[in-house]
Amino acid sequence: MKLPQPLVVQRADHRAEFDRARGAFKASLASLPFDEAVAELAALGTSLDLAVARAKRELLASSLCWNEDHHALTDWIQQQHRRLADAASRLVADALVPDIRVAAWLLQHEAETLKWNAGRERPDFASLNTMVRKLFAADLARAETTVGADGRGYRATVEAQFARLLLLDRMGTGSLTRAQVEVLDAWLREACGDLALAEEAVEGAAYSIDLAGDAALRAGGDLAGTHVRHLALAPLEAHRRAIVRELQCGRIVPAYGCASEFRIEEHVAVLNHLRATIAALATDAPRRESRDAAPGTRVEAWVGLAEILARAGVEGRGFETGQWRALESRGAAANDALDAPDPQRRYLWLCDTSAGGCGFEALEQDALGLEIGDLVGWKRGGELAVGRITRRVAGRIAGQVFLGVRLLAEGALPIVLRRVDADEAGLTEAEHLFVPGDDASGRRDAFLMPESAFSSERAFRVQAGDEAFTLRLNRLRARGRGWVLAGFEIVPPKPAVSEAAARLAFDALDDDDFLDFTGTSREQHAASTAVHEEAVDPWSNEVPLRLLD
Amino acid sequence: MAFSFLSSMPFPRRRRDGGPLHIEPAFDARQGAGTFPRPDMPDVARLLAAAKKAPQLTLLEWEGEGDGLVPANESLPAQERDAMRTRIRDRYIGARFPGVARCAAELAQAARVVKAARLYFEEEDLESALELLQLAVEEAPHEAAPWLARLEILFLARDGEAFAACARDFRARHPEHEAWVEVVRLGRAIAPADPLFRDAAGKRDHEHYGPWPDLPNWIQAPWDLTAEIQAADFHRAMQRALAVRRIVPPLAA
Repeated sequence: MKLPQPLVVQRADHRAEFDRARGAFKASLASLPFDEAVAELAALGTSLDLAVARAKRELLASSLCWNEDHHALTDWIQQQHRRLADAASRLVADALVPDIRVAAWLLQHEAETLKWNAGRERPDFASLNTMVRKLFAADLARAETTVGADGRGYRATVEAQFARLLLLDRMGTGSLTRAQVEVLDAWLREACGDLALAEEAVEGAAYSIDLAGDAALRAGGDLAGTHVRHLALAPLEAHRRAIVRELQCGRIVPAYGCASEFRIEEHVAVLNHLRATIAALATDAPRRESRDAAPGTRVEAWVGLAEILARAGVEGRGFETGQWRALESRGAAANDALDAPDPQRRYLWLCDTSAGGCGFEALEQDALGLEIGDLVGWKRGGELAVGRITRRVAGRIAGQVFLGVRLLAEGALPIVLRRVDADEAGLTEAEHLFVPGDDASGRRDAFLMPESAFSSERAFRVQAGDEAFTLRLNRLRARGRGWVLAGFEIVPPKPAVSEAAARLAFDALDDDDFLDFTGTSREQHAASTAVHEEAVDPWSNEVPLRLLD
Repeated sequence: MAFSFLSSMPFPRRRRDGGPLHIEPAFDARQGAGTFPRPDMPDVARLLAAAKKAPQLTLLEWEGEGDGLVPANESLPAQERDAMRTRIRDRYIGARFPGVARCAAELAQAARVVKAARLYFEEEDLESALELLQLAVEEAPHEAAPWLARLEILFLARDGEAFAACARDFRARHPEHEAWVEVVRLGRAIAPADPLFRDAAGKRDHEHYGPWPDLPNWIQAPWDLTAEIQAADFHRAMQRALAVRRIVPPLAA
């Protein structure tokens, strides 16, 4: 086997060389002595890993700046890991006791395949579960071995590597960006020493897996059986807290590798994701909201706050067309002859709904640029619904994308806010989206506004029907690319009349008017106030405005 | 021409010393210029033709392949390392508490921090409330307000162990603080077995109707409910506006 040194995956000729070497390895797999095959597998895996590690930073940058070469390269990387995993799988398939070196490389390539995967493909958990079960039976699952990841060798047990793969599959796919998955994986590798699959049920947040089955992790510890194993998340939570502490001290974890170069915001997003996942597992609440299949209604969708505000408020736009989903016939996708869609607009197909969100399918061209964290708006039953994208995975059919959207509001209302800060009183006004909360007290109401418009303690005047309110932003409830969901408090209005002016108006009343407004004569009123003058009356300033008329 | 264009591109080389090498694509228009329309302008047609070719992605490499290497930050001189850590800490605080603080220095504004922590707590985000106050205490340990707010939130969260630990730290930092009497009073209610509270003589008993003592309101919750009532009024007014909009939607522009 001869590979270019160093292998540069950005170069087409180097990729071709690697393809040839891997093909030759696959062809000779049946005839090679086992140790030699293992050595070649490790050499190919290491070479690929080092080359990918060198290109990773650029590849994991925002997908918005990707071109076709980036897509082709990520597909190539995923395919190489897939094929090396297949080769490793052949080496362990018929063994009564799998070789732990091969098992480790198999799990490593499966994890990398998952990370670079652009489709819905998942590892073959039936065969992986069987392999790990055999290793547990042979008491080898907790033996350490070395594999290469992110350009470095690291030691871990097969059990821990399997746990890493399972957690990546469970937590990483679709809900995190590629950069965030890389951060999560770096942490999982750091935590490998504490990840274990216990035979006994564990307390607290946990997943479980049946090694005799073909499924991956299940939430909770309610599985039972001889081959059921439980993965406690307490060690992962301890690692999360340790990472928080390190970041508070100004140290990134891990301090090396690709993940250490990503923005802190990516790390914080993964920390929040981990925290939410572990907290949800620790409670007894239903783990997944019940879902209803929607009839595949086509809706016009708007992306980003500016587009939502510009297009959602106009009548005749964005109503559901009532068309049945036609995505599966490729040529006719979103192109009904009776109602040819406007190419300037973006259409999504609503495919399932739940109390907290919606699932959409879209053609790739319609989903172009839609990323996790983006804001999406559409009309639902005549009302403006707004949500944030929390999941993006390949659709069931090639060329389609599935988008999971967490609902922020079903009755959002565009409304003009006018700034009333001392410095810029009345100078600026802009339209933002009012997001009503689910609580009649108004505590959970918020405004969706551009990130640049938010500043804590900024005050606005808003006209709600015939009433005017002054509000002050006081918290940031959620945020995404370019938008924030800002909480606020209502500022009590300043007294419209000064006490002195009110007193003057009060004293100027003639006796009849005094009786009309107070219900007592002037003398009786004077006597009653004298009795209570020592008590502090909180309503003493509440002089009716009509007294001034 | 193509050769001269390509030869002007920097060839990526492996860096042997210092930190990671980031090579930005560099282009000098004069190097690729033709004679049309002016000698100092680029030949657009030629550039467009070149752009159609599949570009080679920039090769980026960083130090540190291999096992057991010292992290890059640790190899920096102490002063640079401290500056880098400060930057990371600031960025972390900005990303973790958006809208509250952009950097660690802003956590010294005690009133603002206490209010933000109270809002987190009201929204059942206890971890954020406590972390924010902890960072504020680290940033400005001489300020008593974040300490006291942290103690009150720990009390409200019924975390006796953490309350006692925080009370000890507070006592060490502010031995003469007048609020210590109140801290002890709360401590006796939440961690009566802790020697810090068990042995301390309180100046007054709990004044309360239920099982818990009254609270000192170190988290600065507003006494006045006017804003709460107006928030409900605002919600109702907006719902009415929404209902009107349903009946009379705005016309297409």
